[in-house]
Order: sequence, then structure tokens, then C-alpha cells
Amino acid sequence: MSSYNLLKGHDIRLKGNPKKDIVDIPLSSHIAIHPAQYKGMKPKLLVKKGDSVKVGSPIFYDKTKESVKVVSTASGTVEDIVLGKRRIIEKVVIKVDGDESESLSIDKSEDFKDFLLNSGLWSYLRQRPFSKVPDPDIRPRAIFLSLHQTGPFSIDLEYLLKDSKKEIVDGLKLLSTLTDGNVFLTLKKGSDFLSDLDLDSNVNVNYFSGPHPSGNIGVHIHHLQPIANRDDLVYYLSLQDMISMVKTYNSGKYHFNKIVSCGGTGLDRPSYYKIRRGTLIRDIVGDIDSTIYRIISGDVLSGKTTSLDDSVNSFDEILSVIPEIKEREFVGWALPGLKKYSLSNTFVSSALGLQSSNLETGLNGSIRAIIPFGRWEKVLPMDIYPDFLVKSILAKDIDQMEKLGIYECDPEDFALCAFSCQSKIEVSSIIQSGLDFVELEG
Amino acid sequence: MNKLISKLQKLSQQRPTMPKMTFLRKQLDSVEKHFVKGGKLERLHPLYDAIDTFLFVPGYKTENGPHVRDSIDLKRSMIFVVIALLPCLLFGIYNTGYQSNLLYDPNYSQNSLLTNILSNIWVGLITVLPIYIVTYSVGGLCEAVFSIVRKHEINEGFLVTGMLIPLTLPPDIPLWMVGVATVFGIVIGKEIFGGTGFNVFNPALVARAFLFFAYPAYMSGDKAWVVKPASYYPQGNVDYITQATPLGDLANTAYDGSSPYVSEVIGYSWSEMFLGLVPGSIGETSTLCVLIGALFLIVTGIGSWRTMLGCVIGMLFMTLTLNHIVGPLFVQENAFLFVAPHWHFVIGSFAFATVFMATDPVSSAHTDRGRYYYGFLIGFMGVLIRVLNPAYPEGMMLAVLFANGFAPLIDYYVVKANILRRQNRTAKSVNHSSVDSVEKKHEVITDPVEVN
Repeated sequence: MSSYNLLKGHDIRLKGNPKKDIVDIPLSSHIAIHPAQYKGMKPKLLVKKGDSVKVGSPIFYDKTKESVKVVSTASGTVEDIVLGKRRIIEKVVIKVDGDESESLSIDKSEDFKDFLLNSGLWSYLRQRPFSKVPDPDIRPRAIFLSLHQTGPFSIDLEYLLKDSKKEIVDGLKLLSTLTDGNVFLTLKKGSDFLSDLDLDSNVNVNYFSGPHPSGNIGVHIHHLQPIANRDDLVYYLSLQDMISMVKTYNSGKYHFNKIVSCGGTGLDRPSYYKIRRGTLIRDIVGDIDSTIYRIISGDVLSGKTTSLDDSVNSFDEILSVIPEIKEREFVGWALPGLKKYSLSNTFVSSALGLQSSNLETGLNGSIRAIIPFGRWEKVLPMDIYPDFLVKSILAKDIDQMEKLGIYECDPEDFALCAFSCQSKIEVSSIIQSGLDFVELEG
Repeated sequence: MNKLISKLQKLSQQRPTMPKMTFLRKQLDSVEKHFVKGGKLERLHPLYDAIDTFLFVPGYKTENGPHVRDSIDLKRSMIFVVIALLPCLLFGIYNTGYQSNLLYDPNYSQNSLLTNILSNIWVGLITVLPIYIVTYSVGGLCEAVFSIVRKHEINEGFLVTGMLIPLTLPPDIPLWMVGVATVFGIVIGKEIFGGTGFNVFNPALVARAFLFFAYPAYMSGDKAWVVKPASYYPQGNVDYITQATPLGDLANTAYDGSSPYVSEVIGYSWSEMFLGLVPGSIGETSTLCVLIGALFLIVTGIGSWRTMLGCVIGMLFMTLTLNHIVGPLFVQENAFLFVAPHWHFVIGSFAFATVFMATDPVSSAHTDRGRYYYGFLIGFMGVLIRVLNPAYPEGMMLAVLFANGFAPLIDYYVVKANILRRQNRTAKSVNHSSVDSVEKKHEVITDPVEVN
């Protein structure tokens, strides 16, 4: 056990912080499953339009790793299959009808891994490097989980899971059968969440403190057991997903509920919402004018733009609704900036102590060449030189990328670099393109 | 009447307090079609873009990655360097007039204080403003031509370069030289590398170095830098006065066995040098004004305090070495060897170069750790050139250019150290995992792959 006090980073203070009340959303008329969200999977559909499915019926499997499949979270009939560019399967829409479930026979003597593969819950796991659904044939070096969340509108997991401690203990024990190394659990520094728990000896508990991104799993891996090369795999998953696994494993019944934290000024009622996985965003937050507000599955730093007719990404626990940019400000660069949000001290607002801001989706400047004022380094609590890594990616220099630590990186860890950049460089996107490039060519 | 009031109230509720400049916006939008691709004036798009984004914050939307962005942009960053330079500029204008009047105005001591102050400002303005007009118009033209030919946006970096160039020049410089130097600095120092962000050397210093080597008689730093505005003093009975600058004085003083009293040699006390009412380049004389600028840059996070700290430590190290080791033991004919660090701090352009030249983010080291070494190298080399090189009484400009050239090498080693650290860390984490999993991994890797 050790504790890490990270100083670099920044907590963005946004208006519309969710309240900690849990609003129950009843099972709605439709759910959507997005096969394209599962990175690393080549989906092959097992259903076609008009088929009836039950809770737990497989919807698609992975052509490259056939044992990995994703199952339906509701019962009903397949109403629509939406194809995107190059025939990517974007969405499978299921019209909900009743709540019938596939029978799940659990043999507790078999491996936990087999249970996950059979039940379709393997798809909750992801691996680093590349943040994709892992290949069950390769054992990971370690597994990482975090109770410490720092992103904007993130869930207070310690509050949420205070009654699920037993499942956490069980889950960590089960997960440790997947690896020969440790299961790392990270908490916020000073937390006594685990004080009365009897954890498996294989579980390695660590404490982190500091501003965002000190809660990112990539930062934890970097400080605890960094990734050496592309074959050095670790798994990670969300604690909510782990608890779903445990509940399903213990009861033999699928457990597809999860809590999503919904924040932002576009919402009437920013709060925690308890939903069935796959619930359409429209059914959670009601009607929102998407020309005025942007709906983001995930946090505002690393999430993806989505629409009311989609569901929250399977791996996301945050839904953000923030205003789109409305108008161009007159001589904005010269004004004192009483309400401008900035990490730099170049606006009067930083002297006045701006409490929270209703940030819009504007780029707030022109795109320029990389000028290293040192802003990226200030918000990256990792021993990585973002400037040089980005340049090696732009130069497609795989050797240099590997040396500079591309395998330790995930776009979400670099989101604040892109946020704070005065030249408006898309650091996160560049890191993603670098990862895609080394994955393919390295 | 009541109707009118209620109407006004409604209007005031609708309109925010800030004027929206909708008229201007409409005008810009209406001509935009000529400048975009396919328009009649497509090639001049950089000019339109410069004016458009100068007047209105660009309306680009974020696409992916972070959906929200910091309010700072490059315009704001660069304008803050200009603001930081304002104390130096204003003081420089005053000092230029003051030095000129002191030397050429026979009635200076009899005039009233107010008359003198106003006259100082006036003489300073008519001397310095033309230099600025030449720099910004010539430099702006270069920038615009290059952005049109090379099809990139007009960059804000020139705002700073154009501000810096005149401040490093002597006030008596002929205007044509200013123009030639600006062209050289912008074109050779920056644009041939691809514009702001790609230059290897600080463009303002490239301009200054060009003058230094092309016209050494004006620039060597040991001769009179006091302007004599002929138009202002037609009755002046002095034609030409050479007046040594403090650096020149020091360099020409032989060592007479005891440490020199610097103030006697140069004729100014330390506090006078610190305040800056002495002859010298337009903006470099006042250490106080430079320090105000430095504070501003550090607080706003635009200038790197690491570079500045490195410079000061490098200067201290080299000066103390010369004072106590090299001077007494080896070379004894040069009085400059025994000048204490606090004098080096206020003499010449040490402070100015440390705060405004060394901290240029593009031409300095790009790593935080590298910035310490880079700054140290500048302080170290600056004093070395100053003291031990008889040809160049001022060494800071050359030291910064020298360090600009070395910055990539410094970064190379800093990055290499980072790579080694990573290898050590990751080797440890792989060792943590048990042998079993490592073996399994190898199995997977060495699995015979069916080719063909």
C-alpha cells in the first residue's frame, strides 16, 4: 500500500454539477446497443430485424475472438439495425416487451473467466495498452480498478457503493483469478472505505490525491506498474461493472442496472440516474434541443458527442449536456475577461476566483503551431513529455513513440493538455491516432 | 410615454449590456465569400482571417476530444508579452529624450522640472516612434507576404518580435538599418523555417545580430548611444559627441591591483544603473522596468521562471568564478574580471535578455528540466563573452543565440534521461508479475503463425 500525491492537473469547475440523489428511470420502450463502441471487437451480428431476444441473449460476437460476445440488456424484438459508414454496425435497437431472461446456469467450480465469457459480461473488461476489449487467451499482468474519480461530473463511487462492500470484496477475489499478478484498487487519499474490509492478499490497495486526472486509470497504472510494451497487458474495469458481474455470478440472474451521473446546464435536473444499460438518452433526460445543447456520453473532456436516440456508452458512467457556442465575442483577446475560464492567469477572472463556469463548446481561438509555453506539462501528472510524444506521432516515428511511452497513454489522460493549449492543438486526438498507428503497424 | 418606457425596458432586457457589434460582424460576413476557397480574393484569405479573428474570437466548434476549451489563445498569450514590455518601452522613450537633452540642451539645468520632463518625453517620442513605425510596417509586410505565399495564417508572434527589435537598438540608429534588420530577422530568423513555432533562433535577436555583424561601427556597444535630433536642436553647437557606455568603460579599464570601484569607472552608481537613466539601447537600460515585466510574465505564466532562474544562477556561477578564481589566479590585466555579480545584473542587457529574449518558448528548450540548463548556459556564456572577449563588450545577445542553437541538444539529453527512467520503471513492473504469466506471454508471441 502506498499513497501518491499528484500536483499536476486541474479540476474544471463546471456549472450543473449533479446532485447525489438517485433517480430511478423505469425500463423504457426501447434500448440501444452500439457494437461500434467496443474497441478491439469486430462485431458479427447474431440477430436480425424482427428477431425476438431475451435479457442475456447474445446480440453479436467478435469475429477475431469468437468467445467474446455482447448480450441484450432487455427482452423484446429487434426493431432496427443501423449501419454507418463502411457498413459499421452502429446501433441495434430493441423494442422492449416484458422482462424475460435467458437462463444462466452457473457452475461455481468453473473458472470465473468462463462465466464471464458465457454470460457476455467479458465485454465489461478492457485492456491497456489500446483501451480495447481484451483477448481472453492472454492473461493480463495485473487488473486495475478505481474508486477515485476526478473527471467533471464524475460519480462519487464511495458514496454510491457504500452498501456494496461485500460485492466489492467478492469481486476483487474473483477478478484475481484472472491474473497471476495483483489486483490494484485505488482510492482517494484519506478514505476509510476499506477500513473494515478483509481483502484478499492479492489485492493491492493504493491511495491517490490531487486534481484531475489523478483519478484516471492510466495515471494509476503509470505510477503503480507502468506498461512496458505492446504485449504487456493489464485489464481494467469500472467498479459498477464489477459489481454487476458479482451480482450476476452470485444470484444467477442478469443484473443490468447502472448509475449514470448526468450533469450540465442543459439539464433540468442534474443528478444520478439509475438506468437499465442501453436505455436511450431521451428516456433519461427528456427532450433537449441538440442545436442549443451538446449531449456527450462521458465527461466533457474525453466523452463522445451522441444523440437523444442513442444510449450512454457501455463504458461511460457520465452523461454531460453543455451549451453549444452561441456567438463570436468582439475583440475577446483584449478584454479583461471577468467571466472567462482559463488555467492561465491571463484573465481577470483568475484573480477574482471564478467559482464555476458555464463553458460552451467553442474552441476559443485560432489553431496555431505548437508553441511550448509548458501548459501541457502542467496538467499531465505522468513522467511523459507530451510535446515530444505528439511530435513523434505526427512524424509517424514508431520507435520514438515507443520510447516516449505511447503504450502508457490514453487520450483521456491528455484531454487537459488539449483543453489548456493556447494553440488549440488536438492533443487527445493525436494521441489516439498514434495509438491506432502503433497498434496497426508496430 | 408609458408605452415608450415599457418598450425601452423590453429592449434593455433583450439586449445584453455589451454592444454586440452586429453591424461590423455583418460587414465581415458579407465580404467573407470573396476570401474563401473559390472566391475572387482567395489568395488574400490570410489577411481577411487576420482581421476577422482580430475583431471577433473565432467561432470554431470543438469536434472531438475535449468538448470545452480554455479561453486562452495565442493572441492573448502574445499580447501579454507586449504588455510586459510596456514599462521598458515607456521608460525607454523617456530615457532616450533625457539622455539626448542632457547632452545637447545647453539650458537643461536651468529649465523647470516640468519643462524638462515634457521635453524628454517629446524628444523620446520623435526618436523612438519612427523606429517602431518602420519595424511594424516592414515586418508586417514581410509577415503578410509570406502568409499569402506560404498559405498560412498571419501569426501573432510578430507582435512580440516587432516590439522587441526596437528595444534592443540604440536610439541613434538610422531608420533604413532598422528596416533591413527587421526584414532579415523576420525572413531569415523565422519565415524560412515555416513561421512562428518553427524557428530555431529568436527572430528579434537574429535581427539584432545581423546589425551587430553587418554594421559593427554602430553596434559594438562601446560607443555613444545618445541620439542628437538635429531638427530639434538646430542651434546646437556640438556636432558629434562620443560617449562611452558603461560596458565599454569597463572593458577598457585595466586592472591596477585592487578591485575597481565600478561606479567610479562607469560614472554611475548601482542604483542609477538599476533605475536605468543611463545611455544604452532603447529598452534595456532599466533593470527595474525589466523586473516589473518579469513579474508580470511569471504571474501570468507566459514567461518561464525556470529559464530566468537558470540565467541568474549561470551568471552568478560564472561571475563568482571569475571574481575569485580566474581573476586573482590567472588573468589580471582586465578590471572586468573583478566586477561583482550585482553589477553584472544591472549593466547592459543582462536583465532584458534574461526576461524577454531567453524565455521565447519556441527557441528555448522545450522541456521544463531543459529550461534550467538552457538558462544556465545563457547566464554562463553571457558573462564569459562580456568579460573575456575583448571584441564584444556585450555578450548576452550572442549567449542567447548560442543557447538557442544548443536547446535541441539539451532537450535531446533530457528526453533521453526520460526514456531511461521509463525503461527502469517498466522493467520493474514486468518483474513484479509472476514468471508464469511471462512464460505464457512468450508462448503467445512465439506461437507459429500461419503465413500463406
